[in-house]
Amino acid sequence: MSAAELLRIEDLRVSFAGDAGRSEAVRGVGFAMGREKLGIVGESGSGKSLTARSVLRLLPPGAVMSARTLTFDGTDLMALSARAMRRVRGQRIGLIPQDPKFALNPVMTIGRQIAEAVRLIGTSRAVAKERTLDLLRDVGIEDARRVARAYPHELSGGMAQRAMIAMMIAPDPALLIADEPTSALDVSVRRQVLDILDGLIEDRGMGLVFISHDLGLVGAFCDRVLVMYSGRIVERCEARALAHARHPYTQGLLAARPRLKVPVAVLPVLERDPAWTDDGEPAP
Amino acid sequence: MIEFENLSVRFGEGAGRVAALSDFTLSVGEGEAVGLVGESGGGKSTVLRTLAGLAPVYGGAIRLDGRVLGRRRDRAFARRVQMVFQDPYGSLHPRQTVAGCLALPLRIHRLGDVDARIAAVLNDVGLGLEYRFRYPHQLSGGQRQRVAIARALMLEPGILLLDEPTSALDVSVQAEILNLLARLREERSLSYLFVSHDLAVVAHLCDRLGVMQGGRLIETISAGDLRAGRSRHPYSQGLIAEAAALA
Repeated sequence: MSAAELLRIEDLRVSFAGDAGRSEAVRGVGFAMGREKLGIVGESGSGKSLTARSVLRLLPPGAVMSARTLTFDGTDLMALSARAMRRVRGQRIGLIPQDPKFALNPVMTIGRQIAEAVRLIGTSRAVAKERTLDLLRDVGIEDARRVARAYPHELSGGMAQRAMIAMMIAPDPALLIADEPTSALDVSVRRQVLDILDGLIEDRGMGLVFISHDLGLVGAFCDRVLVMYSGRIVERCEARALAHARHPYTQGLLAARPRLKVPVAVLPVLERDPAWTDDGEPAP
Repeated sequence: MIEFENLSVRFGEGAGRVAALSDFTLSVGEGEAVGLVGESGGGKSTVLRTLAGLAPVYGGAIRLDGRVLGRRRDRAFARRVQMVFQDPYGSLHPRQTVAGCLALPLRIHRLGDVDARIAAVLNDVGLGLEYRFRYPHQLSGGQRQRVAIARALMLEPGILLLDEPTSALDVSVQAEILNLLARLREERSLSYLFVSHDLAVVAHLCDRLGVMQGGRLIETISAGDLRAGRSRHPYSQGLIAEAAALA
């Protein structure tokens, strides 16, 4: 982890109104990160996406969030006005969604969408056009001119996700949040997209929050990993040490995966211990 | 008992015509579990859909128990072959209870003992009797997939077509469903034709795999040879390397 702190979260909570009062989906999450690749893993409903999207204060309707600390690059995000927050989103922190086909505007060419993001930082139309082509080349697209003229439906999933990444890095953000960015992609394309993401983060010195349900992927790609269960972080470790995770939940998830080189007759099934719900770090 | 012989499937007309499946030949024996792997657009789901009568055959033939299948699938076919889909959220009727869903195939086929059969099949897939009156939205993803498997078993078929049945599930739930499918296959001597993009999942459940690319079967390989890396085709070798790297 690089010395400079980029993001600090303390006692983050997200709750929803339910039949029996409010229920908390994120229950006191805290971590700090620098310009590194931080993975957040867990099963559906563990609160990993809500945690990451809280950084952008982009939550589903009805969700209420609170945090003792939510500081990004020296700025207290909780204190920002809606207007000031809009300048952080996209420009200082980018979000790469799971499926670019839903996130890209279907009736606008790729080039115009990226140019729009470039012009956020205030350049002329002509400069933005050149910069768009450079960005497309940065994400490994060789025939940048053709792709810039294309509409999202004319691109493959991998190509569309690269275009999405190009758009997100256009304003030169300090932090990228990627929410299952390769789950909709085929394995061979996944590898290319991950390599491109890795290169960009290295070259530009960005931080990355990488959300995934895939422990193998996070272990191989990230620097550090947070494991979430039931709205709390139950384990933190170096990514390369994930195979030696200590929490029974993490161990259970790792064991439940069928593995190509290690055949078993019956897969170990995760036995959930009610005590895990109270594991992790409750607010002091 | 299932034989695909030089099967071709094409979609569209003229310049926009796409060959979804070309010259596909494969057989699945009694009690055998055969997997189909490959990337999207490779044609693996088209194989299942063609067998189920959901996609048009352009050339070649499909034989079931030695007889060539025609255009339409009759009731006898439904009692022999059933299908489980990827998304249990989409494949169950939202306004039908579990019991209603499971009773439907029995009604269509005019079979009696409805309550007893439903109770038996629920027990078989590891769901208690209390689930009979629940609606899909009251079930977890894994429970819904158990209901979808139970529905496929209602007519006591010999063959299950499984199209990415665990891809929408969390890894811990996937393990439960894969264990269930392995146990059912043994208890009922079922044959599986199992489609998945996940090599490790297919190798876990199947004896033999077909690797598909661009609508063609480029290699068939035993699960043992796959694990040992004894693949002859560079495309398969790439898939194996990627699956092993993330284990």
